[in-house]
Amino acid sequence: MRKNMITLLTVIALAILVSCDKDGEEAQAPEQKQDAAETTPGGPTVMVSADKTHAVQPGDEITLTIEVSGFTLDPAKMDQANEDGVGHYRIYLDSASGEDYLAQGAENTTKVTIPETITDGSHDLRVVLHNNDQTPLDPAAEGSVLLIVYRL
Amino acid sequence: MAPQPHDPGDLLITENQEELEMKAYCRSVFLATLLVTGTALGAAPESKDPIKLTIHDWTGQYITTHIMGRVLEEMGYNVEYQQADYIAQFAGLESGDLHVAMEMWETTGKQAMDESLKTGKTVDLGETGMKAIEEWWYPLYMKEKCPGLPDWKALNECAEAFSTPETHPKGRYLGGPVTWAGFDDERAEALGLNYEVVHAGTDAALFAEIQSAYERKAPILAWVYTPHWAPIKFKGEWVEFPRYTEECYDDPKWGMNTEKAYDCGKPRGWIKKVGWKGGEEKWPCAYQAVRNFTISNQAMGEMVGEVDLDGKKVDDVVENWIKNNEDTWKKWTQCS
Repeated sequence: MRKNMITLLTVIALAILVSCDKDGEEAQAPEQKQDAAETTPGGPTVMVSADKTHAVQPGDEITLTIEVSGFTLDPAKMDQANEDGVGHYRIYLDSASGEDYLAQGAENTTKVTIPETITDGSHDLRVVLHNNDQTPLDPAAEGSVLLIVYRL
Repeated sequence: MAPQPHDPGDLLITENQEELEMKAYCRSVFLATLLVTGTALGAAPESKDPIKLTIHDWTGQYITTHIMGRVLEEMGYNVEYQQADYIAQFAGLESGDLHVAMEMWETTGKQAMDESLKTGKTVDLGETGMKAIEEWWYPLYMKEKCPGLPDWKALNECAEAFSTPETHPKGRYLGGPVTWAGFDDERAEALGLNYEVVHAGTDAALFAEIQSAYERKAPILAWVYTPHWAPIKFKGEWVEFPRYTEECYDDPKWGMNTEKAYDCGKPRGWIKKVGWKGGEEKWPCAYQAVRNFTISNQAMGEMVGEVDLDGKKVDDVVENWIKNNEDTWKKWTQCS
């Protein structure tokens, strides 16, 4: 009974507040943080953000959101003949290059598993654009996100 | 019959007055209803005496504490922020001169907290949700001079690379302020490290020296912890010591050095809240809110970056968090 009364009074109070302030300022949505972005002047640009960048554990699966402009990501064209402005990306850890990539793809959202061998410290996940024939763009176009990794 | 407006301006004035009167009425009714509801709940604050929250000398703790303080204020409590030594604060928490500490790190404060809890005068108020590491750290450019890193066994081979004119041929390790504990002097001795342990005077001095070295690419081996901005700004790695166990700290026989304790790395893990036991009876709803407080490494890391890297004021960052996370902190305030 007491709980019902409290609930009723609370609802009434909130209803009054809402009706009084209905023309007031809308609550702002939380700021969307872009973890990292790099651009290549005059060429395609890559923006990367991740769902987790702090206290990352080896073996964690990180979801990357990849936004590309001036370039078309097309998974169907992978390993096909080169076409200007079309290709896919490879995801590298730190200074890795060539075939030493963690994943490749052409989707705007992708998942990457952090290697068990990663050291405790700061690491870059780099998303590097590639042509259909698996060669990197020249000049290079990439974006990255910083991960703080440590075992618990 | 209602008075007729003489011109459009009068109409505007009349409408504004009516609107203002209506809003004033609404707010009066709202406040009255809240008062009745609060009375029915027997809700916070149970006492107007200020709840004293301790603050230390690092940004993240300042943010955590001020978020909690703002939430308690929203609940109607009076709050005071009291500068206190990280370990020595337990004397104040046990006596009731201090009431709540928002960050006790497993990495450095576990032993002191365990000792204090044994007195029965303090209470464990639960984990914050953040997971910590604080350990010996070096910038990546030092790995070129010491390729065996991050394995701790490489440290002695590279002692000269980490030396300064004052410590040569010994390496130099810059530890945190002595008040942070951490047992680095003991660690260096137990592991037979040919390093001189030097303690920074303050958190600011520690990171100023790291920054200065990093900018010059000078040798530096230092205490770095996170959540903190340093690992975001400076590319580097933590040394991998033998993993911590309780026996390592408590039993000299454990580990590679059978005569000395601390022959391992620092603990890693939780950051907890701890409080004066008497506060639970004095401010039960406030203590429940403190227990309910959680925040992620992600959120804290971003806020610390906003303050220490982007130059924003702590108060502004805290207010922004309060404004944008009402759904989160309002849940903390529910008192049963």
